[in-house]
Amino acid sequence: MKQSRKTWTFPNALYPEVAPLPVPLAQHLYHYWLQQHQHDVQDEVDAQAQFLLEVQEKRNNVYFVMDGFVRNREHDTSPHRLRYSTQWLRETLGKYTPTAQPIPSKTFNHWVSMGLVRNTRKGQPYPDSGAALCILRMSIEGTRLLPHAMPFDEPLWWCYAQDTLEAQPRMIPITEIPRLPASAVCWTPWAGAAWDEHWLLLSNPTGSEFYGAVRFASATTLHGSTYYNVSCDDIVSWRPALQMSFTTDPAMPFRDDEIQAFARIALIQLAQTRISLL
Amino acid sequence: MSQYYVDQETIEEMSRLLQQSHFLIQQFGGVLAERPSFAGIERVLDLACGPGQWVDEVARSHPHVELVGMDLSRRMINFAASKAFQDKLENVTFEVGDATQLPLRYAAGSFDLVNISLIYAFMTRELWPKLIAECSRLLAPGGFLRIIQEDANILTNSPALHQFHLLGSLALQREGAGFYSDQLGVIPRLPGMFQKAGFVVQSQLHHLVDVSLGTEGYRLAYTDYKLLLANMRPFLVKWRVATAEEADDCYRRLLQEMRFGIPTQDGERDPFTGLWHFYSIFGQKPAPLLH
Repeated sequence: MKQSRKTWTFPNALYPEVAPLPVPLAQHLYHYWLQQHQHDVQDEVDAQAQFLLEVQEKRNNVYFVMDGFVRNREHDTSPHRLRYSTQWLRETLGKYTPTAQPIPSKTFNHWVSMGLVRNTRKGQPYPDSGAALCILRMSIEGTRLLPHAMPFDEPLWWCYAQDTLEAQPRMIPITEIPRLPASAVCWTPWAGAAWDEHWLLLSNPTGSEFYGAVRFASATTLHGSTYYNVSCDDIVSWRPALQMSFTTDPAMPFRDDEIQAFARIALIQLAQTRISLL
Repeated sequence: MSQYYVDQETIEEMSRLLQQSHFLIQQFGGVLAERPSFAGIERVLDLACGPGQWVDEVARSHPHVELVGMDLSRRMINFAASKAFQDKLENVTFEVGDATQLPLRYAAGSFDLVNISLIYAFMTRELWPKLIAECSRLLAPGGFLRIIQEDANILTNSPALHQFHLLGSLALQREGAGFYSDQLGVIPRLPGMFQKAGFVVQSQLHHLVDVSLGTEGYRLAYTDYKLLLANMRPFLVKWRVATAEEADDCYRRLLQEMRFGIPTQDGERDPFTGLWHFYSIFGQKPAPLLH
């Protein structure tokens, strides 16, 4: 018997593919999308594929527009209007309302109190949380933009992780990354992940297209630079072809910055077989 | 106050303009293929600069050049300025201003190059020659004016896309932007306008950009049309060239044809083909003869 479209639910296996949407927002959006496109899809697999394409397009647009504002948010010298903030988010989301006015503070604060928007501190929403809200606002017409609430311990989004080259990739919420082995590799199709400097942005050479982000699980930021806590052996275990690069005079060990360069090369090469658009 | 035919302050439209600008720079062989060295060019105005991609790229590749980007949209200007700040570009200023309110605020002879790209959405038939004359005032003797234009005219095997272009052209004509109902008809008039304003036309370049399925330009074109037609619906309805239902129908068919191909008589589908025509004209304001 053919399954009713009303029973189609958002599959767990796709959680990382819809980053930066948290699971409840992804489910809410998928439910809305199915209502709008019930006559445009052939079957459940087709529905999921088309839905992901829509999310991917909107995610790219959101990243393009938010990137400069988000990267300026930590610069004390940047004018306020050039930074990502609650005000920026209220104005941006407000462009999709009939009046095109900023979302009222009262409404926005309600969203915060219901866990639908996450703040790093007062007046400063997480960029990922703001991006998720933008994707929903771009997708959903009318007033039922958001679910009623979201648990406060709901992870912001999910990514893929792999402990070793031989291990199976799995899905994890980003809150799990600190509990992974230091040399585990994580990846996501969400380029905005790289707003956290521990993630390495994946783009084309001209910087006009962005495919996602990748990282080793354990990383440290020192004087504004990111260092992955991996050894030469760890890197070679992921990319045996790099073994040649590490064969050198034992009396002249590699410097940290050289190891970090190889770590980044390994990450980019690993991403090429793990992120579909690359 | 000028009107833009879609809301240019949504995320989709800002992103579309940004990607379009990036693509055009590549297609035209750089930021200023007509004078890549920027010799003699130190002060530049980019009128209706949108998200500022062209300004950004010139500022990075030619740090000796001082640039001003002007656009009607405050949010667009904030976006452009945020990118410039992030990129630590100190030779760039972005300002809110209306390119249809002439004369512009800048003093005569303020610039060595005025750049204008794809402004047909808000430029009326009557304003075109006035704007070009105003650019002549803004330029120092020996300065340059470069205009990139397309006339809403595409070669395609997609009936829906062809129809969309016809609807858009008709609406733009009714608004006062185009000269004809089936295409804008601005390109053939630009050389004459340049000459009337005293410019010496140095070059005219025509670019046919392949946006057929499987080409580099396809993804941009698909996204471009998808966003543009969705946003243009109120504009088409306002000028009574289509009902909302007809616009929606055209939109659905367009996406189907671009993604899955065009149905043929034998029940098969031909892959989508499309050629965009872009044009640029580059003129110089004569410098007085030195005795």
